[in-house]
Amino acid sequence: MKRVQFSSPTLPYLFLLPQMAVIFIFFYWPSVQAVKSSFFLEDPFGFGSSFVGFDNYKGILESAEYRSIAGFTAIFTALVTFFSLSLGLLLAVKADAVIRGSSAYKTVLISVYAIAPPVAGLIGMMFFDQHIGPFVRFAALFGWDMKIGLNYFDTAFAMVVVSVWKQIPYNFIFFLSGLQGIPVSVREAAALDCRSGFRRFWTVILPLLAPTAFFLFVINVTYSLFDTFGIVDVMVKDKAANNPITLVYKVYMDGFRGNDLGGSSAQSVILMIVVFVLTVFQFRFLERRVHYN
Amino acid sequence: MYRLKITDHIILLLGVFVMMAPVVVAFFTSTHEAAEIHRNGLTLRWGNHFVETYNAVLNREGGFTGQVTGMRMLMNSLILGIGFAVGKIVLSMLAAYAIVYFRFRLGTLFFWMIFTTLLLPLEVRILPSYEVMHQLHLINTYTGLIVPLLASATGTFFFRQFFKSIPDELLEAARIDGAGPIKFFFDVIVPLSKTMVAAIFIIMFVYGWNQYLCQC
Repeated sequence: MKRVQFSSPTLPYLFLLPQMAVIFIFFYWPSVQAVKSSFFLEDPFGFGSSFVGFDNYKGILESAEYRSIAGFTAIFTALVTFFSLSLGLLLAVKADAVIRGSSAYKTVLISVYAIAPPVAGLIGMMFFDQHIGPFVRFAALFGWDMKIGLNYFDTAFAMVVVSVWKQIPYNFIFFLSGLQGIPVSVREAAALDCRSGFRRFWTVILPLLAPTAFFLFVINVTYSLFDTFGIVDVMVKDKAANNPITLVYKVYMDGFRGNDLGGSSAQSVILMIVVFVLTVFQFRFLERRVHYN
Repeated sequence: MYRLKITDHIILLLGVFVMMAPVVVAFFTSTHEAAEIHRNGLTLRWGNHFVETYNAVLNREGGFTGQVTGMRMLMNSLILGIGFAVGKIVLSMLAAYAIVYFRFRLGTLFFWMIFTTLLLPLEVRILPSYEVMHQLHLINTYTGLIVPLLASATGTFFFRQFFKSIPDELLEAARIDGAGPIKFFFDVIVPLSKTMVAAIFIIMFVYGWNQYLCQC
């Protein structure tokens, strides 16, 4: 904290008031409501509700469907985080290394950042379309009969590809600015000591990028869990088959489409706990390995 | 180190191709008629229906009330994006200023209460949030669209990190010159934060513009 600070009996509270008011009304109140209604079974047509204790939780945790969705979410998050981080890093390192045309590369690669997830989902659907999609035709050359929206694995594959594609520019921007923050003198010293570019990257550049990488890791996990909602929605909406969905999509489906308010709230609470544990884990175990200076 | 490397350029060109090709193809395909697209698939040729397609997208009426046009939706997104970005910057600058520059008893508690919101994005608590908005009669209003999104800590967190990096000497000098907290905020902190505000505005605007889930 600061060495010198103001002290005033009312001013700090006045400054904090607007933020705290919004957070209380739209964060803490709904969260408490979620916990409360997760203990009730709600009538789908609004004719009251009855207290059922932990039944909603039991129902969710015992259901094989929920478990398979949770498994899919975990794999999906791992794949999307890994590929979008590594591809973003690869492109950033290369864009940082080349001299000629580097600003053109940067501009083009960054510009895709502006595309919204659902729009990315739509573009992805076009490319994976059953009749006109070039990817489907391309896969057919190898004897892979791709059926997006019908085949569980194919849909999951398309979802991962589109989610990674959407997230690469974001990682690219942050890795690039991280790379540019590394002093030239350090690189030159490293270049004198070691000829192998790969080894130099691995032992000098990457550790110096660790704070950026940690930040991006947290952001990418959150992105894969929550912000892919638009992509998932566009890809599986109106499709009949048993398609892969993420946990957040299930919360939405059960709450708004299935009218199962209690079950949906219980899922929200479970997700809150999972995200909380994940965040604590990230900060306690991963951030320790990150050196900020 | 300063040699031209062919592999670097190949990787970059490949990246550019993978990132841009879908967007370019989508644009060119949008200049064709729907029937033609279904017959011939995606294309890189310029069609003759650019004006028709975009006119229909922007001006055809539809939606729940039958009066919603694309223009109207663009307008809504714009209001949401700007409203959200401005609201976020104002709220979080004030809050971060109080947390960093004041010594008061509940400071740490308030910081953690704000920070907790980072953990749980709106997506996780969408249903109860909708209920709260319904109780407050905020459904189908711009307020109901913007304000719930403001209940998160990202902006406060950014500004806190930034304020902490501002040298203490500035505050000491300002106090010697007799500036109070409010004067210091408007005459020193706000001008210093200009670039930070610009960066956060862009990030927040894109976030608001891309908002998809909130149907409130």
